[in-house]
Amino acid sequence: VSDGTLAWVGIAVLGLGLQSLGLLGVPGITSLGPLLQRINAFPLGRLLLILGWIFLGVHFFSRASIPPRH
Amino acid sequence: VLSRIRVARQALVLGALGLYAFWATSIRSFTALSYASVALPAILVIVLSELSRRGLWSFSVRAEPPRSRGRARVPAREGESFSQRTAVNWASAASWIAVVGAAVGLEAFGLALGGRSSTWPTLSDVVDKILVLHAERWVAFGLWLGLGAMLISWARRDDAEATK
Repeated sequence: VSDGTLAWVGIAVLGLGLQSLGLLGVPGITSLGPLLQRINAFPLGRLLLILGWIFLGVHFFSRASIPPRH
Repeated sequence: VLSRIRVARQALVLGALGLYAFWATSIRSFTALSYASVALPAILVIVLSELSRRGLWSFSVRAEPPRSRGRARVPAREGESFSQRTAVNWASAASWIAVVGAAVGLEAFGLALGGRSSTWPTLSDVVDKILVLHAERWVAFGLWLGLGAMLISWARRDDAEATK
């Protein structure tokens, strides 16, 4: 496993940890849901969220069956 | 009775999303049908969230009615804002900003190396490896659809007002 892959795993673990702490109600940490909901309350935020969501779908699921390059 | 109807509706929506995700991830990539399978939810989210925002249509992914949901651990008090109730502010978002910043930095570094480095892969490279198996694609597509359903749900007029 390369250093870069480990770094991505670390970021994913950090994200999951934060989400868990937020859901458990640890003071000073918010979970992703309320944060995205807050962003969604603004017109520009809503636009960016929808565009970002569409980008994720098009980018990852139009190339999902491509074999790994490495 | 209303609560049971809401739970049943929620289960129905989850089941439908799961089935759709299974079907969509079974399609061969780079075909017209595979593009349509991603385009259809995208169009639905744009149209339904706009209708929902204007109060012409209503949908919630949760079983509870919107006003009684326990978004916050602390009970809502009169005059309290969404930020105060849910503790969403710059300080509580800082940890997320740091994580996203690290991800953006790592992605930029991977791209600066040409985007094909075997030592420092981009997020797309890592995700490609994960999405090789159909079961993993199914789960990922289901999560993507779930996030889309949340976007429609958050666009509800009363919910949007409650977050201001």
